[in-house]
Amino acid sequence: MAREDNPRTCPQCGDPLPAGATECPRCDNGLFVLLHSREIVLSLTAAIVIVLFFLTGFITRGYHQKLGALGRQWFEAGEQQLKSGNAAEALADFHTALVYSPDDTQIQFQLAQALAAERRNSEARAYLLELQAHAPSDAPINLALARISAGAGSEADAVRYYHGAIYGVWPSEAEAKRLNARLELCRFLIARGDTSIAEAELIALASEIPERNGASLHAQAGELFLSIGNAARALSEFRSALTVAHPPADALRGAGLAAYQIGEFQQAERYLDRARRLNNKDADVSEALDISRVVTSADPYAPGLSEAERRDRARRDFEQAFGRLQSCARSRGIDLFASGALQSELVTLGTQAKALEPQLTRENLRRHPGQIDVAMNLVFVMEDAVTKECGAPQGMDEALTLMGKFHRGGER
Amino acid sequence: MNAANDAATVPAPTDSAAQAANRFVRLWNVWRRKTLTLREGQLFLLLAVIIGIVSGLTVVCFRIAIEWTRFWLLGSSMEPSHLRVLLAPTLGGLGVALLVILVFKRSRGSGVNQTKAAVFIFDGYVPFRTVIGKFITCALAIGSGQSLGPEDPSLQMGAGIASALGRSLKLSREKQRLIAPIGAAAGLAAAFNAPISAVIFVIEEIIGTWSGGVLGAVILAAISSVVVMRNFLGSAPMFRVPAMEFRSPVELIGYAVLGVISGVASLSFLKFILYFRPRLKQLPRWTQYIQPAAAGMLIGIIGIWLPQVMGSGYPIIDQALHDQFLWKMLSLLGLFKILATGISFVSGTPGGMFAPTLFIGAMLGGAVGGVEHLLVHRPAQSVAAFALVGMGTFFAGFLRVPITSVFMVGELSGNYSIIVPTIIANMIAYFISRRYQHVALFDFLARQDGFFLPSIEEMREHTALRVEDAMRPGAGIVLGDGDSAELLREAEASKSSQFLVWRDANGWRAISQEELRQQAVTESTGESTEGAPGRGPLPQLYPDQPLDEALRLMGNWPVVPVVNRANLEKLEGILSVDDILEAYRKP
Repeated sequence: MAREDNPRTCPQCGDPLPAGATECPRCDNGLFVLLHSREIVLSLTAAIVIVLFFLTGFITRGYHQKLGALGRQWFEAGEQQLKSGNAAEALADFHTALVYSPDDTQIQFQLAQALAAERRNSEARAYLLELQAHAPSDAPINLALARISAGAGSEADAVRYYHGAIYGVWPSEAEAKRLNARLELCRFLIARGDTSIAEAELIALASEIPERNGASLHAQAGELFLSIGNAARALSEFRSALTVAHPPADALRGAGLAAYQIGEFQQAERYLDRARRLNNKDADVSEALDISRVVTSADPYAPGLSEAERRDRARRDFEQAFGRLQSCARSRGIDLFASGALQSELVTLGTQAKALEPQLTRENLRRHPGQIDVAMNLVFVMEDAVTKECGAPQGMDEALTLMGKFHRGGER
Repeated sequence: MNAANDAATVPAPTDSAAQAANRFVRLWNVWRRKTLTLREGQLFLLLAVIIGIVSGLTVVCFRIAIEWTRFWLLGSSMEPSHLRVLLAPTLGGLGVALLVILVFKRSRGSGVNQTKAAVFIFDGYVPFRTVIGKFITCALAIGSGQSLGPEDPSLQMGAGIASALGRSLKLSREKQRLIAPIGAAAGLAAAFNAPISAVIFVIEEIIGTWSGGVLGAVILAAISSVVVMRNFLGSAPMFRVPAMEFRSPVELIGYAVLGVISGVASLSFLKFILYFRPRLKQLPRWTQYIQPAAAGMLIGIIGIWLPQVMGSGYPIIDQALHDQFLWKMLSLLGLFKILATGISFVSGTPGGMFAPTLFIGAMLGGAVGGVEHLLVHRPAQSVAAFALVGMGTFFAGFLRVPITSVFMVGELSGNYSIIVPTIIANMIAYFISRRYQHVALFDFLARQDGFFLPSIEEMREHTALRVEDAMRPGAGIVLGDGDSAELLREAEASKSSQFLVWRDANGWRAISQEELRQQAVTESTGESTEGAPGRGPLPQLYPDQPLDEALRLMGNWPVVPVVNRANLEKLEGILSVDDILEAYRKP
């Protein structure tokens, strides 16, 4: 305001006026007015802006290149550390890489993996959830989230993310990775004791295993079926695994044990025999093989037996069971055949056996083959009763018990 | 007219070539003024866009300069060697002190209160030298690890660029005063990548009023600058926020606790700065050379154990949002960041408070979220939600801009799902801070520097008086229809000497008893009277009009009618100058 009131200054530019002058020499100069006109100033500003734009573009390009290089450098350092097992150092490197390449999903994923490796699951989960929000169908992200949820015991989340991994998009080898993800899901469910869902997943898995190069997966599926007690499906999977030229070593073992569990003792003996030749230190295989051999040698219902052999086996089995019954009764101080003995199951069975024994002659059995079933039924009942009274059977008795389990009543 | 003047004032040339050139220039000036000249309003909007573009470019270069400085001084690692951590901020502080004291004297401080002073005291004048000074000194200070941010300096640089452009275009004083906030909004928007928050902050903290004349230009400038910035640095939000949601009202209890903690922490931070800043300024002048270096050394010592507190800290906020720290570490980072930022700022090192404020808020929020997660076993994402809300909450308590803080949380993160907790926590923090520290930070800093700027906070809460607050009933003053004798009888029955009459064709008119008497005498003698009785038409006021506007409209009329907007004949009351003064005098 003071400037405008001063008579010695130019009202337009505010410069002091020369002594005696009434008009401003600058503002009255056309060229000066032209150069200081708004249009010229705006034009010059626009020109400067354009130059600045290109200059900034040049600077920014160099900056982005530098950031990109630093991001890669720190990422590679992190990967090296992770490979060397230094997850803590890898974490610091990945964090630094992420500062320079914040939008690089590969770095974020690796960082999350490193965090998970360090058991910092909630931190890993935070990164993975953000990644998943941007790529909900990304299978590796879903699988990593599933593993974290599984580790945290959150079954519903884990199943959801495993399914995300199974049905999601894999960058490469999609078929194999999907099957592995489903296999992992099955293992998780079995570990959680959720066998019914696990069985459904296993059935789905079994149906998806390709014919070529699927032996290992068949064997693994068989193991899992076996672990949830579905020996029939397990045997089927192991058989599929054994169809290839070089079957997995465990397939023979698994097939033998599966066959053993479902009472296919002849098959079990065959598989287990081969398995023991490959590894004779496997106690389960040896035990199952021994029992299978006894069963196949004592089973009067085994296919391909002559009638005479069938009768002989039935007679031997009866003698074995009756002998065990008497031995058990003696050990318990029970006289099976004394008049006025206390009525117990052993006494009843002893009485029945005593009554049946004379009828089990070769001749009688030849004339009345139905007596074999009667005898074997009594054998199985006696074995069960003695097991209840005197403990687990051994050797031949164990074989008879198993036989009873699968052939009760002569049904095959 | 101008053409004639030009023709008359151009001096006569001495030779033919010069004569021709001068003639050309003269004709060009005449044509230019007739065809090219923009009206000031149009120019202002065009200028807003240009300011936005230039500010955006400057902020892009500024951010890159900070990063390059950090690479050179601290290296690219997030955990630099101890020697670097100790030496970089110390030597950087020394360099900054020399530059500020010897070359760029006006580059001290954050830049917000300086911009506000420019608007209210210096007619929007911000020297261009300050822009250069801010750019260099802040890049050096922040890049060397001083615990300060780039936003406030960007705001001042934008204001400086706008001021320089306004001066070169010889804008009127009124426009010159308005143009600095436009540049400030552009600078802040580019620095924050948040145009809405920048506009609201400038309105809320610098201008203080939602003036329609400037709002359009402010928005244009802010958007232009953000577009430019995103073109060069990408459009991603400043923070990558994990998925989160507000699930149950019960969660608000935790957020309320966060509001209380942030309020107390922001108040402590405010008191720390307001107590130590004047005391350090009062120390002998030679100490000014070493204060930033000493601050740098202290920050370096903290940085040996907690390197996260150095610099603006944006990557660390990102990590906190991704649940990368336990609550104890978050608390530690929050407390030491308060200390480090306080030391940096009171030492006179140029740099901003926005980024550290967000950092502290995120850490405290994350810590509260972490404790809540432990206590009530909420999902892990709740820590990120608390960190995000904490940023806004501490911002509201410390900088005392509650509206900006709410929008900022949403805009910086691109996530509006937790707006309700943000509002509640922010308000609690704001009220605690306001209750125990009456003057806001930037106003207090300006007062410490000798500038008594208007408190925008008080302006915001000031209730403008309206006509309805001052008017009185018009009973006994309004005369009905009839001839002058009837009106005179009516007037004589009243105690008043001034009256109002409504005439459909002429509106409200004023008439005194004396005038009525003369008119009645004239009519009784048979002389004809021309037109409606009395003087007028009177200006009409409405009950909702601001009182200062009413005062301007009243002119010299002793009394003015206050009418209904839907029915101009219906008198709501009357207003005189005495009524207005009486209303203003009321406590």
